Amino acid sequence: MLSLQHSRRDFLRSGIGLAGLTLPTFFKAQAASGLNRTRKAKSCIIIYTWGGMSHYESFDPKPDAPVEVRGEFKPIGTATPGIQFCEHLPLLARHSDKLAIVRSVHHTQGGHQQGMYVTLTGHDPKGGIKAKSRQNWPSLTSMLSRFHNPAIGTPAAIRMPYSMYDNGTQMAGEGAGWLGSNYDPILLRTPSGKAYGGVNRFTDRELNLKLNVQEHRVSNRNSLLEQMDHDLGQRIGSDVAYDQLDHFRRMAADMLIGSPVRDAYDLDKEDPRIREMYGDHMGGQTLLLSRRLVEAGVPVVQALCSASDLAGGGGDNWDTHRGHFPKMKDRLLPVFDRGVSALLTDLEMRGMLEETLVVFLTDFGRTPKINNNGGRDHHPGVYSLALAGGGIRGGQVYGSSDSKGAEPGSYACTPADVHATVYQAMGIDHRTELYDQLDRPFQICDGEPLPLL
Amino acid sequence: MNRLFCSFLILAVFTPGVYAEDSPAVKSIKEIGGVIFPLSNGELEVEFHLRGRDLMTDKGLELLPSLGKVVSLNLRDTRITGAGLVHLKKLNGLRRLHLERTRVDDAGIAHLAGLIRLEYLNLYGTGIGDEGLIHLEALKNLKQIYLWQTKVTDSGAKRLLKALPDLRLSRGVVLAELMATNKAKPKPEPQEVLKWIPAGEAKPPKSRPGSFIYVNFENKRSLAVKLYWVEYGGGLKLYGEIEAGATRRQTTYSDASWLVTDLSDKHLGHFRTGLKEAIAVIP
Repeated sequence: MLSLQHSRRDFLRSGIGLAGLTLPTFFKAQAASGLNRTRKAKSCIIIYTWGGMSHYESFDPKPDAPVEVRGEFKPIGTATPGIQFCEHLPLLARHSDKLAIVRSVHHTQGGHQQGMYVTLTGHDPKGGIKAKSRQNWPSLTSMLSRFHNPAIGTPAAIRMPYSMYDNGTQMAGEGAGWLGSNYDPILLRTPSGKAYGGVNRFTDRELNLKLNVQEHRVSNRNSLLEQMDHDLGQRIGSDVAYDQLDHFRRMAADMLIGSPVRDAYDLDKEDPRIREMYGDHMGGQTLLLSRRLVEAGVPVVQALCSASDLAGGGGDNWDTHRGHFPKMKDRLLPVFDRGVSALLTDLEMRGMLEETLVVFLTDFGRTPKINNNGGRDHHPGVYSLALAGGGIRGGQVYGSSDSKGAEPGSYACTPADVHATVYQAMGIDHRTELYDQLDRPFQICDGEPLPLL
Repeated sequence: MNRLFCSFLILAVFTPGVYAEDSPAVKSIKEIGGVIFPLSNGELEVEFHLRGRDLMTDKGLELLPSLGKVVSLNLRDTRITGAGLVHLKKLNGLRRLHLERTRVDDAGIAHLAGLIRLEYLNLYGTGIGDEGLIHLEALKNLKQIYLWQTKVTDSGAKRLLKALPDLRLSRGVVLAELMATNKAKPKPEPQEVLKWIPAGEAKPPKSRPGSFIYVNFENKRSLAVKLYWVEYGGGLKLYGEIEAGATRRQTTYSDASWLVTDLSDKHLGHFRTGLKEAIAVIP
């Protein structure tokens, strides 16, 4: 949550000196700090299904479409009359009363990098984009963290358990971009659970704080700092290295001194029955960790529910060009269904759901046509996303796709509109202007909020 | 002059209501881990659940009434007890109250009875029972209450809902039950059906030692029957009667004979067991 101090700093940064201040400019400056106290959501968990989750086999089944479109699975009823999910989301179907499903999201980016970039930043990529570039738009995760100022030792944004890669190339769009390295989400590895099959990469070592060091090693708290010094020492000379060194060194030190975040990271402190509820898979344990981190005061958490590298469609990611149906049924949907259902149950019974916005994002949907390899290909033409908690009215569907799930049928909307909705739920004015490192003004979001609150 | 006026203006805006950032009460609250968020209308949200876990005690609660209009108070995980809640009596503007995972008790809840603006009350993970809930029956604005992992029973919950019909009462999941339903149920193996050999066709052979199995007898007759095990030496040992239409799950061994008679010991027929659990239907 934004502190008074923070808004003062913004106030001064906005360049309005005391001498020229009038009441309207003062209030404008207050508004520019982007703070709205009437919001319900205080924290946000972003669940990302990397590779492009099929809308047919999740939130938008098409039982009346021709067999070559509707696929092998049947729809099932949910807790909300009139809303159907794919039959392989039986647990999540019981939580439909908490979910707002958006079935009319679309954009024009057919590649993973581009689709993921527009989904996570709300902006179309311009030209070639590179991971870690400070020219990139900030991800939703880091942008949300910009409006929060948690306690010392608590990162404003964490993402887990891997970065997104496509055939060995790290994707642009997960970082803070022009917001600067202070807002790069900290990458954490989920310490337990059966790993996703496929290729998982941990090369972001300068951001990957390994909190699972032994207690006695924490007492001198050197191991982590040494590890970071070593990693960063090799990068000294690049323009951001010193900046990062300072930021992450401070963060690491703070997190290690008995902070609630460190406690939260220790999954052995969780009730084993709750751990079991989430499932003994990295997907479920990551979501459990998300809840624990939010509980410990981390305002924004991004959980990747997928293997890290798409690796040409191999492994447990959602890029299902081949063998779509068995992979969805056996590998992807069960872990997802159990994990996210447990998360919603858990947040609800602790009384946290109302203050915690849960957002489901993915690159794009999948094609209506099932290809010769029994797969579905990329389809940004229309797909489904979902939101829950944080004041979102559950049990509703916004928009629709056409009868074949190929194009928006009604109330077409974009990833930017979904972002605007998220900002609204979090009490952030989506038209807030922020300044990049060259002091150029940017409005944080181009979309308009969907009426889901 | 202009500058002086503006400084005054800022001071005025930053000190809504009675809240003053540098007042002694505010200073003390910050010292025990409190975080205060002033709202634009002068109301205050106060939190202790992150930084005040070990510092906030019943003594700290004494400080709250002097702060001003507290509308939201988060005391999760702090060291307060039920007795300390007496200091919340004066916070009659309170709309949200987090007491989860603290040592508050039924007696302490009585102090909340006058907080008529309360809309949200979180008591999960406390020692609250049905007695405590009775004190909440007059809180007509209460919309949500969280009671997971408390001593509240079905009847206590029911009583509160009767007093406050619009209340959303959340009791969470029973973890033990959840575990039971999550465990994959072992698939029942398809059972063999033992062949019924009527009395006229053959005499039941002697049983021979075998491996342990179950046989599920089903009496489809309209009268009760008697069940005998044919001993290794050929003798008969009565195991019991099976009522008409009833079933009996019987431990036995493979390669055993089971003779079925009517109640006057007239032979009706027999079964010979196989290697696996089986059903034996008495026609």
